[in-house]
Amino acid sequence: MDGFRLSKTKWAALAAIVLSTVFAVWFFYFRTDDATAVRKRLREAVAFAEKQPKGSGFNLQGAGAAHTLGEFFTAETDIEISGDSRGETYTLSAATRAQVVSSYFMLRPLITSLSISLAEIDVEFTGANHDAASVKCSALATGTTQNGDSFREGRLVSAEMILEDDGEWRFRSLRAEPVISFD
Amino acid sequence: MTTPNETPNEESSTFVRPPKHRDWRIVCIRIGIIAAATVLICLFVFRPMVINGASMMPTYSSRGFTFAFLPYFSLYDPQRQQIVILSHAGFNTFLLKRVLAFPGETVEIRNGVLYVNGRKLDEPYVKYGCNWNLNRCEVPQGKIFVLGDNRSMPMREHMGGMIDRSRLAGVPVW
Repeated sequence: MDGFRLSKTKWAALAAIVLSTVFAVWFFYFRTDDATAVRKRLREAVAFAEKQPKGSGFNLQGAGAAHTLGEFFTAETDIEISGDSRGETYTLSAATRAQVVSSYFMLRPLITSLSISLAEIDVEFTGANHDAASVKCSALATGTTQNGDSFREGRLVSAEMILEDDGEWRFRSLRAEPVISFD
Repeated sequence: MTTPNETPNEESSTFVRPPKHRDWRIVCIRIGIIAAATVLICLFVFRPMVINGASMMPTYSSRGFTFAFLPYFSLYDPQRQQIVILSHAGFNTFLLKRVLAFPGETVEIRNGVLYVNGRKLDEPYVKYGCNWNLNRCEVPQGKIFVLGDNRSMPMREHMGGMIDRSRLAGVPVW
Protein backbone atom coordinates (compact mmCIF):
# COMPACT_ATOMS: atom_id res chain seq x y z
CA MET A 1 0.00 0.00 0.00
CA ASP A 2 2.55 2.45 -1.15
CA GLY A 3 -0.11 5.03 -1.93
CA PHE A 4 -1.13 5.48 1.73
CA ARG A 5 2.31 5.87 3.25
CA LEU A 6 2.30 8.94 5.50
CA SER A 7 5.08 10.91 7.07
CA LYS A 8 5.48 11.08 10.86
CA THR A 9 4.12 14.62 10.88
CA LYS A 10 0.99 13.54 9.02
CA TRP A 11 0.52 10.59 11.35
CA ALA A 12 0.78 12.97 14.30
CA ALA A 13 -1.75 15.33 12.74
CA LEU A 14 -4.11 12.45 11.99
CA ALA A 15 -3.79 11.15 15.55
CA ALA A 16 -4.47 14.65 16.92
CA ILE A 17 -7.62 14.95 14.79
CA VAL A 18 -8.90 11.53 15.85
CA LEU A 19 -8.18 12.20 19.53
CA SER A 20 -9.81 15.61 19.48
CA THR A 21 -12.87 14.13 17.74
CA VAL A 22 -13.13 11.38 20.37
CA PHE A 23 -12.76 13.99 23.11
CA ALA A 24 -15.47 16.19 21.57
CA VAL A 25 -17.86 13.23 21.28
CA TRP A 26 -17.22 12.29 24.90
CA PHE A 27 -17.49 15.90 26.09
CA PHE A 28 -20.80 16.62 24.38
CA TYR A 29 -22.51 13.23 24.54
CA PHE A 30 -21.06 11.00 27.26
CA ARG A 31 -19.68 13.32 29.93
CA THR A 32 -21.64 12.96 33.14
CA ASP A 33 -22.24 16.11 35.12
CA ASP A 34 -25.25 17.50 36.94
CA ALA A 35 -26.73 19.11 33.84
CA THR A 36 -26.32 15.88 31.91
CA ALA A 37 -28.06 13.98 34.70
CA VAL A 38 -31.01 16.38 34.58
CA ARG A 39 -31.25 16.10 30.79
CA LYS A 40 -31.06 12.33 31.01
CA ARG A 41 -33.85 12.25 33.60
CA LEU A 42 -36.00 14.49 31.41
CA ARG A 43 -35.47 12.22 28.41
CA GLU A 44 -36.27 9.15 30.51
CA ALA A 45 -39.56 10.70 31.62
CA VAL A 46 -40.46 11.61 28.04
CA ALA A 47 -39.56 8.14 26.76
CA PHE A 48 -41.78 6.68 29.43
CA ALA A 49 -44.71 8.86 28.45
CA GLU A 50 -44.49 8.00 24.76
CA LYS A 51 -46.91 5.53 23.29
CA GLN A 52 -46.24 3.13 20.47
CA PRO A 53 -48.91 2.35 17.89
CA LYS A 54 -51.08 -0.63 18.69
CA GLY A 55 -49.47 -3.86 17.64
CA SER A 56 -45.94 -2.84 18.46
CA GLY A 57 -46.39 -2.72 22.20
CA PHE A 58 -46.76 0.02 24.78
CA ASN A 59 -44.13 1.77 26.79
CA LEU A 60 -46.35 1.58 29.81
CA GLN A 61 -47.72 -1.70 31.04
CA GLY A 62 -49.27 -2.56 34.36
CA ALA A 63 -49.05 -1.26 37.87
CA GLY A 64 -45.27 -1.50 38.00
CA ALA A 65 -44.98 0.87 35.07
CA ALA A 66 -47.44 3.25 36.66
CA HIS A 67 -45.39 3.21 39.83
CA THR A 68 -42.26 3.98 37.83
CA LEU A 69 -44.03 6.87 36.09
CA GLY A 70 -44.94 8.28 39.48
CA GLU A 71 -41.29 8.14 40.46
CA PHE A 72 -40.55 10.98 38.06
CA PHE A 73 -42.52 13.41 40.24
CA THR A 74 -42.15 14.81 43.72
CA ALA A 75 -44.81 14.21 46.39
CA GLU A 76 -46.58 17.39 45.27
CA THR A 77 -46.34 18.50 41.67
CA ASP A 78 -47.89 21.36 39.74
CA ILE A 79 -48.68 20.53 36.13
CA GLU A 80 -50.12 22.73 33.43
CA ILE A 81 -50.36 21.51 29.87
CA SER A 82 -52.07 24.44 28.28
CA GLY A 83 -53.66 25.83 25.20
CA ASP A 84 -52.97 23.34 22.44
CA SER A 85 -54.56 23.98 19.08
CA ARG A 86 -57.54 21.89 20.15
CA GLY A 87 -58.18 24.31 22.96
CA GLU A 88 -57.69 21.97 25.89
CA THR A 89 -55.82 22.82 29.07
CA TYR A 90 -54.97 20.30 31.73
CA THR A 91 -54.05 21.58 35.14
CA LEU A 92 -53.04 19.77 38.29
CA SER A 93 -52.12 21.70 41.38
CA ALA A 94 -50.08 20.15 44.21
CA ALA A 95 -50.96 16.75 42.83
CA THR A 96 -49.77 13.56 44.45
CA ARG A 97 -47.93 10.95 42.42
CA ALA A 98 -51.07 8.83 42.29
CA GLN A 99 -53.07 11.76 40.96
CA VAL A 100 -50.48 12.48 38.29
CA VAL A 101 -50.43 8.86 37.17
CA SER A 102 -54.23 8.49 37.15
CA SER A 103 -54.58 11.73 35.15
CA TYR A 104 -52.09 10.47 32.64
CA PHE A 105 -53.90 7.16 32.28
CA MET A 106 -57.19 9.02 31.81
CA LEU A 107 -55.75 11.00 28.90
CA ARG A 108 -53.73 8.17 27.42
CA PRO A 109 -56.62 6.34 25.69
CA LEU A 110 -57.36 9.49 23.66
CA ILE A 111 -54.25 8.90 21.58
CA THR A 112 -53.19 5.87 19.62
CA SER A 113 -49.56 6.80 19.33
CA LEU A 114 -47.37 9.52 20.77
CA SER A 115 -43.76 10.32 20.06
CA ILE A 116 -41.96 13.21 21.72
CA SER A 117 -38.61 14.68 20.75
CA LEU A 118 -36.86 17.25 22.90
CA ALA A 119 -34.58 20.00 21.70
CA GLU A 120 -32.87 23.14 22.95
CA ILE A 121 -32.68 21.78 26.51
CA ASP A 122 -31.43 24.52 28.78
CA VAL A 123 -30.62 23.67 32.39
CA GLU A 124 -30.03 26.32 35.02
CA PHE A 125 -29.29 25.35 38.58
CA THR A 126 -31.16 27.34 41.18
CA GLY A 127 -30.37 25.49 44.40
CA ALA A 128 -27.41 26.37 46.59
CA ASN A 129 -25.91 22.90 46.18
CA HIS A 130 -27.01 22.16 42.62
CA ASP A 131 -30.03 20.42 44.12
CA ALA A 132 -32.67 22.35 42.19
CA ALA A 133 -32.81 23.13 38.53
CA SER A 134 -34.92 25.13 36.15
CA VAL A 135 -35.23 23.37 32.82
CA LYS A 136 -36.49 24.87 29.58
CA CYS A 137 -36.75 23.08 26.29
CA SER A 138 -38.90 22.68 23.24
CA ALA A 139 -40.76 19.48 22.58
CA LEU A 140 -42.28 18.20 19.39
CA ALA A 141 -45.15 15.80 19.95
CA THR A 142 -46.29 13.74 16.98
CA GLY A 143 -48.76 10.95 16.82
CA THR A 144 -52.30 9.96 16.05
CA THR A 145 -55.49 10.41 17.98
CA GLN A 146 -58.06 7.75 18.69
CA ASN A 147 -60.00 9.03 15.67
CA GLY A 148 -57.04 8.36 13.41
CA ASP A 149 -56.14 12.03 12.95
CA SER A 150 -52.43 12.71 13.01
CA PHE A 151 -51.07 15.64 14.98
CA ARG A 152 -47.77 17.47 15.24
CA GLU A 153 -47.52 20.05 17.96
CA GLY A 154 -44.62 22.03 19.32
CA ARG A 155 -44.54 22.96 22.97
CA LEU A 156 -42.30 25.11 25.09
CA VAL A 157 -41.64 23.13 28.23
CA SER A 158 -40.50 24.67 31.47
CA ALA A 159 -39.96 22.55 34.53
CA GLU A 160 -38.63 22.86 38.03
CA MET A 161 -36.72 19.77 39.12
CA ILE A 162 -35.21 18.97 42.46
CA LEU A 163 -32.64 16.44 43.51
CA GLU A 164 -34.15 14.33 46.27
CA ASP A 165 -32.35 12.41 48.99
CA ASP A 166 -32.26 9.16 47.01
CA GLY A 167 -30.20 10.87 44.30
CA GLU A 168 -33.00 11.12 41.70
CA TRP A 169 -34.09 14.29 39.94
CA ARG A 170 -37.86 14.74 40.11
CA PHE A 171 -40.36 17.22 38.71
CA ARG A 172 -41.73 19.73 41.17
CA SER A 173 -43.56 21.61 38.45
CA LEU A 174 -44.11 21.03 34.77
CA ARG A 175 -45.59 23.48 32.33
CA ALA A 176 -46.04 23.13 28.60
CA GLU A 177 -47.37 25.85 26.35
CA PRO A 178 -47.68 25.96 22.59
CA VAL A 179 -44.81 27.36 20.55
CA ILE A 180 -47.34 29.29 18.52
CA SER A 181 -50.82 30.34 19.59
CA PHE A 182 -53.44 33.03 19.19
CA ASP A 183 -53.35 33.86 22.91
CA MET B 1 10.65 18.22 -36.20
CA THR B 2 13.15 15.74 -34.73
CA THR B 3 14.27 12.55 -36.32
CA PRO B 4 14.53 9.34 -34.27
CA ASN B 5 18.32 9.73 -34.09
CA GLU B 6 18.22 13.25 -32.70
CA THR B 7 18.17 14.02 -28.99
CA PRO B 8 15.12 16.08 -28.13
CA ASN B 9 16.00 19.54 -26.97
CA GLU B 10 14.93 20.96 -23.65
CA GLU B 11 12.12 23.01 -25.07
CA SER B 12 10.40 20.04 -26.65
CA SER B 13 10.51 18.13 -23.35
CA THR B 14 8.05 20.62 -21.82
CA PHE B 15 5.35 19.10 -24.01
CA VAL B 16 5.90 15.60 -22.76
CA ARG B 17 3.03 14.57 -20.48
CA PRO B 18 3.45 12.06 -17.68
CA PRO B 19 1.61 8.80 -18.18
CA LYS B 20 -2.04 9.02 -17.10
CA HIS B 21 -2.16 7.69 -13.58
CA ARG B 22 -5.12 8.50 -11.36
CA ASP B 23 -4.03 9.31 -7.84
CA TRP B 24 -6.86 7.86 -5.75
CA ARG B 25 -5.80 9.78 -2.67
CA ILE B 26 -6.42 13.06 -4.47
CA VAL B 27 -9.74 11.76 -5.81
CA CYS B 28 -10.87 10.68 -2.32
CA ILE B 29 -9.83 13.98 -0.79
CA ARG B 30 -11.73 15.91 -3.47
CA ILE B 31 -14.83 13.78 -3.00
CA GLY B 32 -14.55 14.22 0.77
CA ILE B 33 -14.23 17.98 0.50
CA ILE B 34 -17.19 18.20 -1.89
CA ALA B 35 -19.31 15.95 0.36
CA ALA B 36 -18.40 17.90 3.50
CA ALA B 37 -19.08 21.23 1.78
CA THR B 38 -22.46 19.94 0.53
CA VAL B 39 -23.46 18.74 4.00
CA LEU B 40 -22.41 22.03 5.62
CA ILE B 41 -24.20 24.11 2.99
CA CYS B 42 -27.36 22.01 3.29
CA LEU B 43 -27.27 22.22 7.09
CA PHE B 44 -26.44 25.87 7.62
CA VAL B 45 -27.06 27.83 4.42
CA PHE B 46 -29.54 26.29 1.98
CA ARG B 47 -31.46 23.65 3.85
CA PRO B 48 -33.70 21.42 1.72
CA MET B 49 -37.27 21.32 3.01
CA VAL B 50 -40.24 19.17 2.14
CA ILE B 51 -43.48 21.05 2.70
CA ASN B 52 -45.95 18.90 4.56
CA GLY B 53 -49.32 20.49 5.24
CA ALA B 54 -51.85 22.70 3.56
CA SER B 55 -51.65 25.83 5.70
CA MET B 56 -49.88 27.88 3.01
CA MET B 57 -52.06 26.85 0.09
CA PRO B 58 -52.37 27.98 -2.64
CA THR B 59 -49.00 29.76 -2.38
CA TYR B 60 -47.31 26.46 -1.50
CA SER B 61 -48.84 23.10 -2.21
CA SER B 62 -49.05 20.54 0.53
CA ARG B 63 -46.38 18.31 -1.02
CA GLY B 64 -43.93 20.93 -2.20
CA PHE B 65 -40.21 21.28 -1.93
CA THR B 66 -38.02 24.28 -1.34
CA PHE B 67 -34.75 25.36 0.17
CA ALA B 68 -34.57 27.52 3.27
CA PHE B 69 -32.00 30.29 3.17
CA LEU B 70 -30.99 30.18 6.81
CA PRO B 71 -28.62 33.17 7.27
CA TYR B 72 -31.29 35.60 6.00
CA PHE B 73 -32.31 36.97 9.39
CA SER B 74 -28.70 37.51 10.36
CA LEU B 75 -28.62 40.01 7.52
CA TYR B 76 -32.12 41.48 7.30
CA ASP B 77 -35.18 42.13 9.44
CA PRO B 78 -38.48 40.45 8.63
CA GLN B 79 -40.91 42.48 6.54
CA ARG B 80 -44.67 42.52 6.77
CA GLN B 81 -46.32 39.86 4.58
CA GLN B 82 -43.00 38.16 3.99
CA ILE B 83 -43.06 34.37 3.96
CA VAL B 84 -40.72 33.03 6.60
CA ILE B 85 -39.56 29.71 7.97
CA LEU B 86 -39.80 29.32 11.74
CA SER B 87 -38.23 26.76 13.99
CA HIS B 88 -41.06 24.71 15.47
CA ALA B 89 -39.21 22.61 17.99
CA GLY B 90 -35.55 21.97 17.49
CA PHE B 91 -33.90 22.07 14.12
CA ASN B 92 -35.79 19.30 12.37
CA THR B 93 -39.31 20.62 12.02
CA PHE B 94 -40.12 24.06 10.75
CA LEU B 95 -43.21 26.15 10.09
CA LEU B 96 -43.84 28.04 6.87
CA LYS B 97 -45.88 31.16 7.62
CA ARG B 98 -46.41 34.77 6.63
CA VAL B 99 -45.36 37.59 9.00
CA LEU B 100 -48.26 39.96 9.55
CA ALA B 101 -47.56 42.04 12.65
CA PHE B 102 -44.68 43.10 14.86
CA PRO B 103 -44.26 43.87 18.58
CA GLY B 104 -46.38 46.76 19.81
CA GLU B 105 -48.86 46.47 16.94
CA THR B 106 -52.43 45.35 17.47
CA VAL B 107 -54.06 42.58 15.48
CA GLU B 108 -57.71 41.74 15.13
CA ILE B 109 -59.64 39.41 12.85
CA ARG B 110 -63.28 40.19 12.07
CA ASN B 111 -65.20 37.78 9.85
CA GLY B 112 -61.96 36.59 8.31
CA VAL B 113 -60.56 40.06 7.63
CA LEU B 114 -57.27 40.91 9.34
CA TYR B 115 -56.80 44.34 10.85
CA VAL B 116 -53.36 45.54 11.96
CA ASN B 117 -53.38 48.66 14.13
CA GLY B 118 -57.06 49.01 13.32
CA ARG B 119 -56.52 49.14 9.54
CA LYS B 120 -57.56 46.42 7.17
CA LEU B 121 -54.60 44.57 5.70
CA ASP B 122 -54.85 43.84 2.00
CA GLU B 123 -54.09 40.16 1.57
CA PRO B 124 -54.31 39.18 -2.10
CA TYR B 125 -52.62 35.84 -1.38
CA VAL B 126 -55.58 34.62 0.72
CA LYS B 127 -57.75 32.82 -1.81
CA TYR B 128 -60.01 30.86 0.50
CA GLY B 129 -62.34 32.94 2.62
CA CYS B 130 -63.03 32.29 6.28
CA ASN B 131 -65.10 33.59 9.12
CA TRP B 132 -62.41 33.72 11.76
CA ASN B 133 -62.69 36.13 14.63
CA LEU B 134 -59.93 37.19 16.98
CA ASN B 135 -60.34 39.90 19.57
CA ARG B 136 -57.98 42.82 19.28
CA CYS B 137 -54.71 42.06 21.01
CA GLU B 138 -51.25 43.55 21.07
CA VAL B 139 -48.22 41.64 19.87
CA PRO B 140 -45.93 41.35 22.89
CA GLN B 141 -42.28 42.34 22.81
CA GLY B 142 -40.07 39.60 21.44
CA LYS B 143 -42.91 38.06 19.44
CA ILE B 144 -44.32 38.35 15.93
CA PHE B 145 -47.77 37.51 14.60
CA VAL B 146 -47.87 34.99 11.76
CA LEU B 147 -50.55 33.16 9.82
CA GLY B 148 -50.72 30.77 6.91
CA ASP B 149 -52.36 31.76 3.64
CA ASN B 150 -54.92 28.98 3.81
CA ARG B 151 -57.62 29.99 6.27
CA SER B 152 -60.33 27.71 5.04
CA MET B 153 -60.09 25.46 8.08
CA PRO B 154 -61.55 26.32 11.51
CA MET B 155 -59.32 28.78 13.34
CA ARG B 156 -58.56 26.39 16.18
CA GLU B 157 -57.10 23.92 13.68
CA HIS B 158 -54.81 26.51 12.13
CA MET B 159 -51.33 26.75 13.54
CA GLY B 160 -50.81 30.49 13.71
CA GLY B 161 -50.62 33.48 16.02
CA MET B 162 -47.89 34.78 18.28
CA ILE B 163 -44.49 33.18 18.16
CA ASP B 164 -41.11 34.15 19.52
CA ARG B 165 -39.16 36.25 17.06
CA SER B 166 -36.10 34.20 17.94
CA ARG B 167 -37.72 31.28 16.12
CA LEU B 168 -37.25 32.97 12.76
CA ALA B 169 -34.99 30.50 10.99
CA GLY B 170 -34.88 31.69 7.40
CA VAL B 171 -36.81 32.33 4.22
CA PRO B 172 -37.83 29.99 1.43
CA VAL B 173 -35.74 30.37 -1.71
CA TRP B 174 -38.81 30.13 -3.94
